Amino acid sequence: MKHLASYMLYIAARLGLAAITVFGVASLVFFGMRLIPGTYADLFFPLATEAERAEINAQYGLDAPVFVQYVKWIGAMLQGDFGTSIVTRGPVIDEVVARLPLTLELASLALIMIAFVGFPLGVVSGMFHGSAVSQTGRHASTLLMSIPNFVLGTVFLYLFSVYSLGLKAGGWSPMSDGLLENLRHALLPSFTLSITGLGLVLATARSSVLGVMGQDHILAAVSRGLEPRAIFTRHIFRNSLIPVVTIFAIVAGYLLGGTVLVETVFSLDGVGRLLVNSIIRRDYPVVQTGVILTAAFFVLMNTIADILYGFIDPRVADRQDG
Amino acid sequence: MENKNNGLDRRSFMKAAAALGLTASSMGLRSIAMAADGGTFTFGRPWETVHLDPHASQLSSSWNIQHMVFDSLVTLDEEFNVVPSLASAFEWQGNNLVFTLREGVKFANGREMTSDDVVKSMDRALKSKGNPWGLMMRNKKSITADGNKVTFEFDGPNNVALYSLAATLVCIMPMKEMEDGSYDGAGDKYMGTGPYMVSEHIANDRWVLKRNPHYWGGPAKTETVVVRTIPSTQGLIAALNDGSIDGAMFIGDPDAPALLAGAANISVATQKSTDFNYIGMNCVADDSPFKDLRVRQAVALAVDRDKIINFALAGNAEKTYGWTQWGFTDDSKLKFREPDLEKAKALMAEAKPARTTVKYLVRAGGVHEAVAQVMSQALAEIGITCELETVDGGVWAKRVWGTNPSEMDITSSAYSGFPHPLITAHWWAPELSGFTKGYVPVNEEYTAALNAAVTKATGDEVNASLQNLYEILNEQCVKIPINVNSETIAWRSDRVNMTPSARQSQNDVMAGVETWEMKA
Amino acid sequence: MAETDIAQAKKAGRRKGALSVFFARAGIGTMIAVALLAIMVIVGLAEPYLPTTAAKAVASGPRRAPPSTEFIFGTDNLGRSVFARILEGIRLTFLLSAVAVFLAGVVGSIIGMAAAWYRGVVDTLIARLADILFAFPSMIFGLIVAAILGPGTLSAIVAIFFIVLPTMVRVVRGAALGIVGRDFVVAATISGASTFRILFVHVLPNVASVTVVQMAYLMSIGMIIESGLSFLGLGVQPPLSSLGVLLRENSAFMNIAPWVVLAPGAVLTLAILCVNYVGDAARSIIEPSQPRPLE
Repeated sequence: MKHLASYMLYIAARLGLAAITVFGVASLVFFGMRLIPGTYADLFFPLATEAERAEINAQYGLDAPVFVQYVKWIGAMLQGDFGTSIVTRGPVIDEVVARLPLTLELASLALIMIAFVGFPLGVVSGMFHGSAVSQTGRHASTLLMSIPNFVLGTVFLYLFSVYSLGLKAGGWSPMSDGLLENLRHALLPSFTLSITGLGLVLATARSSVLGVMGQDHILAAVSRGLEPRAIFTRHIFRNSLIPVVTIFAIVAGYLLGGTVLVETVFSLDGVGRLLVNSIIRRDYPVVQTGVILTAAFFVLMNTIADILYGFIDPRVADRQDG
Repeated sequence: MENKNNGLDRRSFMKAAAALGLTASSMGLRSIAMAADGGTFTFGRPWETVHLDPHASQLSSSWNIQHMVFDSLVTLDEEFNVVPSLASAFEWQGNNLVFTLREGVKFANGREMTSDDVVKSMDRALKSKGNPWGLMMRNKKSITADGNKVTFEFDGPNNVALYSLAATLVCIMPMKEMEDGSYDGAGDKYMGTGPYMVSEHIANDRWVLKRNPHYWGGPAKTETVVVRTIPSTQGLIAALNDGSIDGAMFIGDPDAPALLAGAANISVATQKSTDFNYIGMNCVADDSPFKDLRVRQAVALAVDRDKIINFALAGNAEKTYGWTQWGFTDDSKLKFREPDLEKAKALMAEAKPARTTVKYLVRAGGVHEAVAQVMSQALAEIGITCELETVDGGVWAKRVWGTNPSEMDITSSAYSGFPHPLITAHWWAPELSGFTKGYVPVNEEYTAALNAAVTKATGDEVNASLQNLYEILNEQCVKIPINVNSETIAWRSDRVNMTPSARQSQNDVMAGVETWEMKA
Repeated sequence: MAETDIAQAKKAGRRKGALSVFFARAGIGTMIAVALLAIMVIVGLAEPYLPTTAAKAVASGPRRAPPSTEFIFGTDNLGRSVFARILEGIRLTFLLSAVAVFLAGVVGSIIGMAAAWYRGVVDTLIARLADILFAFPSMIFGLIVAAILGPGTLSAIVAIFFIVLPTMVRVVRGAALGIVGRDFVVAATISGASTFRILFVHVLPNVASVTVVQMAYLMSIGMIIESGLSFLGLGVQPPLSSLGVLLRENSAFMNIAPWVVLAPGAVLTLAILCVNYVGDAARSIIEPSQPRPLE
């Protein structure tokens, strides 16, 4: 019981920290956007008079002192109101939700590739230490982490526009128009998005398996004459999972915020492009909401990793003393 | 290059018919036959509309969609002659410009357009934030309606009024619905008298336009037109190739024809526009070396238009020395035309500017980044070092137009050309147009000549005064026009029948869209 | 004091040995990476004085000429030598990332050590701030910085600095925590040494190796961010070229002139690869059993 209680306390503490972090990001993006010279009216109504521009600013409450705007905005957000887009004049949440499926799908597909390609490759390459397979795994992971995704995307755009091979480079077809067509558009950008994470998970799984393999209890199991399959499932796989789960959650969090360049290269209208365009247009509420959602997802994934970590290794939770 | 060999296209036909006094209902049979055609035509373009309210849309990126939904009293043919649109006839009666409204024009909701809509639309447009058209009509006394006649009363001649009325900035909007609140004039669910109306708009992604069943020219041939924003040339070409779009405009990318060469089933046409690129210099800021006329003239003599066109513009543009490229003026009398480095260096030696490192502000997108790089090399030869900074259109506008003095020394940008050069001529007169006051010096001689050209000149005097303005500006070298743009339009010839207009002004790239038709 | 001297002597000895250990352990791959990296750094430093600079001028050759003996990687759309521009790109890409990461290393070390030393409120505050920066989507952060400061080298450096800073702080804090409890630090504290002296004379030398290895990793992150920002038009401004600028300016011509994109893309990837290999090798010496750092 004591253990369960301390574990619950641990989860509560983690969630509390997560909330503080998201609040910090919200404040940073709020004041960051207002440090950018020029409001929407300044940039897009250059021919209007000063008074006319002030009137446009007032329409969006931008005439109030910044701190007042901040307090109002935080208050509204706590009630679930993300505000009105300055450019489209519609609810911000509609703008974000319209793009979310695309970005989420890219990130999910990338994560699936990382889980089903990066992880097994890493495990295999870790198990055959010293062999060519293991060395290939090491070099492959370094290479994958060294290719900037927009370079790979540009090369794909060229290769697949010349030799289609059934995949579409650029453009999008929503899932509602058929899964096959959707996947044909989604595979290249999501693979492009996945490479850094792929390399990272491959490397982590590899070094984690390598580390476990060298430990005494594995050697003991081998000397006890346990079947290799049993050694693998009971000892190696389980024990090497912990760092991989952590890294996996972090990669998942990073993917959602990392789509800007991929969306740019493949001309996709996702959350990343929405944020870029909204920064250019000084559409403060859209940028704020998009950044908060992305950061919240990142923090949530990290928190889940922490909680899982505490679950797998109870000492972590017990050590938590404040 | 697609040749226009089918004689009159539909829009021209409509205009001819309109001129002959035919009404839409007298061609009813043909309209019904066409209404049966459906389909969806998807068009890609590299930018998104910035302003939604047509009367307050100061940047030309917005006009493209607005042209498809809204009509003005008059419009332009391919030779940039003013021809009837919502007005079936117009004439000058002394200093009064009298429009006869077309009969049977309806908004997309089925309500008939009245002279009240026209008068109130004009009133709203001319009062809208930053709408420069009030300036063009500066000697207007009143706009009044009498039955189906609308009269613009001026206190003298006005040589730009008729041309400026062809713009979407003064389009006729459904004022009754706007007054009773059932239509949001500043919103994006456009509803006007044009061939299409907006059914959906997802910012930065797409506009979905549906056929206006009540269009006075007869229903458009294609039921649905989707205009998608695809920001890169590669993206547009890939989308054309894989069939996710049927047509595309490659605005601001002179390399598009080379990139499209050899693609199967793709027709490519070049559309000349009145838009032109220019180099502007800050003559207002105290520390700007370009305040000195000799330095500006040295820059004008260092500009190598051929090099800019051949390298930065892929050889795919027409050289210009001024902004009156449609045969209004005579270039041979200009003093600053061809490059002359020796003379430029001599002028620099004479001027000895205190500062020779300058901030070169570049408008992002299109060709300006490339033009600025060729220019900065040319300026290096006369001893001026440029620090380039590329910023988005909005920031550019704020720093050049919205700040006084402008936050730049020299800049590369473009002007949207208009059907008559007297309109653009105002951008050199800061005490009139206002927005260029941050870098264009007040030149009383020029402004007086411009005012005379607009509100005093009659007959041949108009072109003579235009030539005078042209020569003054060439010598002042505040802005140096480089070239007139040619834009590329491409479409899937296996999927769509379309004939883009050979020339356009005011960003009406998709003029004639109501005649474009999907193949079965 | 005596113990500190011994620690420092040990440290010096270890540092002297580090390079020889590095080369003794390095595989052929690492050796190649070190050699390539050295070439790139030398070329980058020497670039302004190389004879290739003239070919960076517009109209040095025809537009988009294919690779030839005169233009090894062909020319770009303004008739400039792609090879000459790549050399300049190597210079700027390395320089910007190096400056930003070095600054982050210095500032991150100070903050990280302070957190480990003061613990309590200071530590918590620093940890939260690091969390916040860490959770902020990094490309969007770069975009906002570029919008505030204007596009250019300064905003690229500032953006990279803040993006890599939280990682630096965490790593140094972790390493310093293990040091501040050690006897020689306690002894120094009792003998009345100032905090400044303790941190910089006693703690810093012991966390320096971790800092340097982390900087090698962050260098590759910095290069990716720099090229990404330049690719979006917000970093280095043309006609100056970073490798990202070259990709931005030419990616449209991939189909008709692949060399103008493939060459800078390959050089950029190779440069990051070399940095990663060298970083890997350096880490395997200092912390042989540690898994790869998260960034």
